[in-house]
Amino acid sequence: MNTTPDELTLARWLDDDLDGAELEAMEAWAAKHPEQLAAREESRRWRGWITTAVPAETEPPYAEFFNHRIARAIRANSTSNATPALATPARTPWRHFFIPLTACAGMVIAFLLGTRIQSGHPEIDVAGAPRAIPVDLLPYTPDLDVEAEYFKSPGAAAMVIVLNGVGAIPDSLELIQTASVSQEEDEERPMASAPQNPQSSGS
Amino acid sequence: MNTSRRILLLTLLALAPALRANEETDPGRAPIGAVAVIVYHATDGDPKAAGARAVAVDEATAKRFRREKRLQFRHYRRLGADTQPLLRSYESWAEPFKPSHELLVRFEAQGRSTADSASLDLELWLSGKKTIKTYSVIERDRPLLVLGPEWRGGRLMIEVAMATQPGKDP
Repeated sequence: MNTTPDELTLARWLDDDLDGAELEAMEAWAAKHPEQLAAREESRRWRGWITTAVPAETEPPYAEFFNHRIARAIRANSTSNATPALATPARTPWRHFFIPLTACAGMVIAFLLGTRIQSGHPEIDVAGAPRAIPVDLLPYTPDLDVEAEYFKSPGAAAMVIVLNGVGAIPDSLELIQTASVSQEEDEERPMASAPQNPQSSGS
Repeated sequence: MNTSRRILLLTLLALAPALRANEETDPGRAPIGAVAVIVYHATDGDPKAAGARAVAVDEATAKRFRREKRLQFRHYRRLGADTQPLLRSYESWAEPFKPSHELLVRFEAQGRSTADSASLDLELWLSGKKTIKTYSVIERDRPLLVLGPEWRGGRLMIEVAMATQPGKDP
């Protein structure tokens, strides 16, 4: 037969909270376990020490006096906040006309204010705005090896783009052969008389 | 020639003047200005390397270039120029080395131009490759100068400026 008590019973036994058959069973079991008896003695000793160290709960002085004061204050507050009796509204005939008239006047005023706001001037006056917003020139170079440096040059009175990393034109290429042809000579040449754009002129 | 082909040919012949008139009256082809592209050879070496037909620039232009440190060279030679109309809604191509396509400038209007300024979408093509694409507002007294590739001991310098009319330099 298993006589080992469960933890809850053991805890209650340590706190001297058992009685009757449970207490007898536990005492019989503890007689064979001196360590449990020592633990209960330790628990008892701690409880005694706590009882002497912590002052016992004391009632506040004049408790009835304070309770009476509090109860009286509550009663007085309830009396002052009591809902007054509703006065019977005077059934004057002008109120029947005044309330709808006021509502109609409010609606008319709101409507007039709305129309005035719609027909008013816009909040942003663009009359003085510049015709074009100046945008800084941002050169884009599709070739990753080419960098374009842009700056404004007051001295040269120009915007300047300096290309770095662009491939050199072969010296053997004779650009000048056709470049310095004058307008008159150009017109005399049948090959160069018509525009020869490599790409379509439409976009 | 069968009958259907005759009808098609006659129809095309009949429509040709109308198509031509439509092209002429296309408001997008109306010129709203002109842009000149001038190419210089700037070098500290022998200016004769550009060739005997290269033209030395006038002293005022050379002084203007030299006032910018990055554009300072001892010699400037004008190699070629081309002026093309700036159309309302079509692109134009300037070919300063016509008929060579070694250097081309494509430009297109990006806004309403005035007598003193033009907003341009610009592209510089070198050796058949697009080298720069940019947006630029050029003014009559403030052109765009591009210090470009090396050539014969110097560098090519491309000026994009407003022109009075096509065929006439600024």
